Amino acid sequence: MKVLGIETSCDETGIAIYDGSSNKIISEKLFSQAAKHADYGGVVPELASRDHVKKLIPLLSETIKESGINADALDGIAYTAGPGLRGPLLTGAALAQSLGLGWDIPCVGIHHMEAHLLINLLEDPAPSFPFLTLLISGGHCLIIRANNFGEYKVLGQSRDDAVGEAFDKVAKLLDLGYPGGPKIEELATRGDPNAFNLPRPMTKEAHLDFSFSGLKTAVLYAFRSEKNPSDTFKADLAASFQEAVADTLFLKSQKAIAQNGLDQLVIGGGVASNKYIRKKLIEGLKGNKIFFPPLNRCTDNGAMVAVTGHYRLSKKNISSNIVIRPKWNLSEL
Amino acid sequence: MTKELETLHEEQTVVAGEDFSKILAVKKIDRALVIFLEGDLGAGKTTFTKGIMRGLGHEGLVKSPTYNLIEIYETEQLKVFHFDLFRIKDPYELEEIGIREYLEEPSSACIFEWPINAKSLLPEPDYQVNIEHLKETEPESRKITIK
Repeated sequence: MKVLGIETSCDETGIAIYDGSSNKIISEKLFSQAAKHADYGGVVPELASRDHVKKLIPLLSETIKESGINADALDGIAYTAGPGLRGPLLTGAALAQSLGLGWDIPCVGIHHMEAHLLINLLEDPAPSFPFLTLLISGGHCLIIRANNFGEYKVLGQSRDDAVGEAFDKVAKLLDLGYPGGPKIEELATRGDPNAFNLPRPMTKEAHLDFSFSGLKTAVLYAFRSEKNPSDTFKADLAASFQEAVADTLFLKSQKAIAQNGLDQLVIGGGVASNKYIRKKLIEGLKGNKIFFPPLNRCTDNGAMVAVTGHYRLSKKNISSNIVIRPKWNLSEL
Repeated sequence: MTKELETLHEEQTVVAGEDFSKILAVKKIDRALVIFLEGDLGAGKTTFTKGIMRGLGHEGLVKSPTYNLIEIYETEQLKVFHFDLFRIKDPYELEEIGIREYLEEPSSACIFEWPINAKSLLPEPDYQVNIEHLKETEPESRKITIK
């Protein structure tokens, strides 16, 4: 079965085609709007939405052309139905359902987070159920136990700011620009990660929830304490912040592994592309099997939607209503 | 009526939000109550909102709406739309997410963080809450002004 996947839940417009018989993505295109958002110091949802409209059809044509197959060889379509922003979600959903009607093939709305989990099954080697996943991005920070297809349990999540959001806000505070993650990572290479003693929030508690709001505030206090912050000062602060995040993620991952008696951990989401955090987790969690999807699969993309759609289409009855669920708990699947 | 109070640490900011929620709960009207929540990055705006939600009987998480733009809560007493306009540059963006529908919802409250980013499109607030850092020497202390 060949499935077309469409991702438009927030910033990224992504389209891909997955071939179930070879378990491969045969074509994929991604249009990132990060450059345009730079002017706004962050995500601009409705600009993103309008851009999805502009970008979807050209991306679709390119994806099909590059796949070497004709549209009539497609067996199904999948789109991200949630969670995400209403406008962007509706854009992708409307296109997917229209194509489904036009081409007379089934169309399914899928859960964005399940897509982030299932894309990992394309890796070689791939994790096998049950496994743990740490999802770290701009809008999310969660640890999930994946017992089987469609059976997921959220073990812990951020109680306030998502980890990527903390990166963005600290970058704003230090006047580094957007996107915050890469800017801080770059500046941190020149700083001392132990220069500031910043908190590792909620790492003493047994639960697996996160909190990054306090860490952001601690960076603010440190920054304010210096009247004339030099470049070295800022680099040290960025490095110390990144170290505190890496350490927190490591401690929580370690705890999740121990509490669940599982030794497979998949780490995905935009923040997983931070090389410092990767290194820290790989070194700290030695002896376990740690999986990182390739960098281009860490951020939102169409491939993960196509893969998840393939699984959902081979299981469920499909409705032809344009359904989106801006708020959608992964445990409800 | 202007009310000023000082808090020494985070939990007291939550309690201040909790107290404020009592005013909201009794003052239901045929549109949304509009609350502006102002203060710098890290001042405790989401912390204060946490207190409001706790006061209204919400037991789940109160997460930062920065990325999603809006978080929606339904309690027995009030429906709350928690907006964060931190990333909004052009007020017209709010028009496109259907801001007017939220503002017209009876027995609800719209809480806006960073209202300054869309002032020309927002109505005059029913309440204005300002959170400021109080003393350099005590970084966790805050002055909260409610108008």
